Amino acid sequence: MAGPPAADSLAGSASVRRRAIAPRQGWEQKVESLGLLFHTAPDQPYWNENAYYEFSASEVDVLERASNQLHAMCLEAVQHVIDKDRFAELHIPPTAIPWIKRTWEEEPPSLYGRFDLAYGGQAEPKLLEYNADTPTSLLEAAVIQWHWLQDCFPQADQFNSIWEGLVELWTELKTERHLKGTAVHFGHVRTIEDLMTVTALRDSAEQAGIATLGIHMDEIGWDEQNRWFLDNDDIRIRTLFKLYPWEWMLEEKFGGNVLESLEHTQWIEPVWKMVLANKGILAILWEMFPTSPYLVPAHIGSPASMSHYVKKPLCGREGEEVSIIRNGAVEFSAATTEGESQPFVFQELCNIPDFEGNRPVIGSWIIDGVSRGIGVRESDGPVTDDLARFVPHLFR
Amino acid sequence: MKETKKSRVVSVSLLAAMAATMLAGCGSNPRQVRRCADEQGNVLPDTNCERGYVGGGYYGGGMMGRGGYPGWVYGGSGGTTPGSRVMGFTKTPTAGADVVTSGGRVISRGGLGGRSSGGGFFGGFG
Repeated sequence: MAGPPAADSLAGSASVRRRAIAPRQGWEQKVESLGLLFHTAPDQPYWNENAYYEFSASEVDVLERASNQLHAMCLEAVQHVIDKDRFAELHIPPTAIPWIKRTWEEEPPSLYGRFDLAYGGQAEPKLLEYNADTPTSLLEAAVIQWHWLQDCFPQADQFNSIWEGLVELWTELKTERHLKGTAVHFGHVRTIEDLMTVTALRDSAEQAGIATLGIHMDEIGWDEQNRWFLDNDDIRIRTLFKLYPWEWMLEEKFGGNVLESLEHTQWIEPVWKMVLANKGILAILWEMFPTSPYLVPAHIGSPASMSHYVKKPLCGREGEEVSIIRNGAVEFSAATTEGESQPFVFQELCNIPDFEGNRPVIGSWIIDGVSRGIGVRESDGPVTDDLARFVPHLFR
Repeated sequence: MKETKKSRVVSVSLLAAMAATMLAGCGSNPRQVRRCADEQGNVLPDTNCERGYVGGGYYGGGMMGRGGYPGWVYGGSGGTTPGSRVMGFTKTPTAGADVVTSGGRVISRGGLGGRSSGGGFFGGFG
């Protein structure tokens, strides 16, 4: 979750509530048995059930409505980028453009995305960014917090039919024969988090009766003679879910082969998601929908007239290279991993609630184009990075 | 009945199996051989199963017979070359199993996945 920032604290005034609670006896084993092996970072919990967030039913309705409207606006924005040929502003490689247009028209399978929202219950949710290509924390949101609720508050409700939405979508893709492959491959890099995210997705596909195969991205083979991709056992890959960003793939050795193969190989998420995963879309959304209650001003290349803003790279992740500027002074700057090698988007600072130093950002999941639930991650600092704690939620 | 916004059931099997495997310190999956076969287990050339290979079912491009044969079968014992016989197979691979087939083609690897994700403890993309 790469998210920005907090500005003015809403401590004590937000209507969303953060409540302390004793963790379940043996919680580590409980979450491990469901696949969450990375529940504790070296010096702090990642899965944090020492607290939970409590929403009202009307607050959940607000989040659901905002997410659905934001998704609709995002689809309009993709059409706008295509119609007005604004790919260069987003630094999308020209070789990808024909395939973005083609997949946009043909609508190959697209599973999900996650909006990161600032919301405390008193004002409308504000979009921080859209993780449209490689969102993670799915296991925590869809599975782990659901089981926490069943154990702790079985009578309460939770805005979380993410799992159900995924199984429904896979079932539809299978029964309506939208998948090229009888088996679906799931590619990821060699990290525990990505393995578990991908395994959660594989599990949801298998619940729909689809055979799945896992593969590390670096194990994917290119068959020079037949000009198609193979897995580690030389099985032809026809449908591949990849938890690996499009812009990275296209820069790599097989990038050209990936585009060449799009005729015959389904890649999930589809390549048109590059447009929405690019943070420049925040500026295009603001340009198109300046009266939306869910957006804040954003601009590509310069802060324009803003004095308090967040500066973030067009294709950054997990808070990489994010800076917060207030009145011209750098208030926060994340360590850079590769230098300032790409353009930036400048977004007005959003208010993020502050619960005694805990800054929650709402991850709102879109499954098959519909808002299906949320997960909450909280940070100590102003930027939501890869150590932000996942805290369960309920609503009454 | 009151409408809820939570999943009615969240039942995981692959996740649980993989977690158990990793916690046991065993990182490799069981392997199953995949063959193309008819209902009696007669092994056929792969092309009989590759044609018409589509999502959601097994059929052989106009050759589909009862029960989706010929089709890919997994596991079992017996030969792997066309004309041999396989016994005790299933129509879907075991959850979490790696599927093995014969190769022999010129394959390049390592052209994707060259970048890890971020510098954090867990990795991950966001």
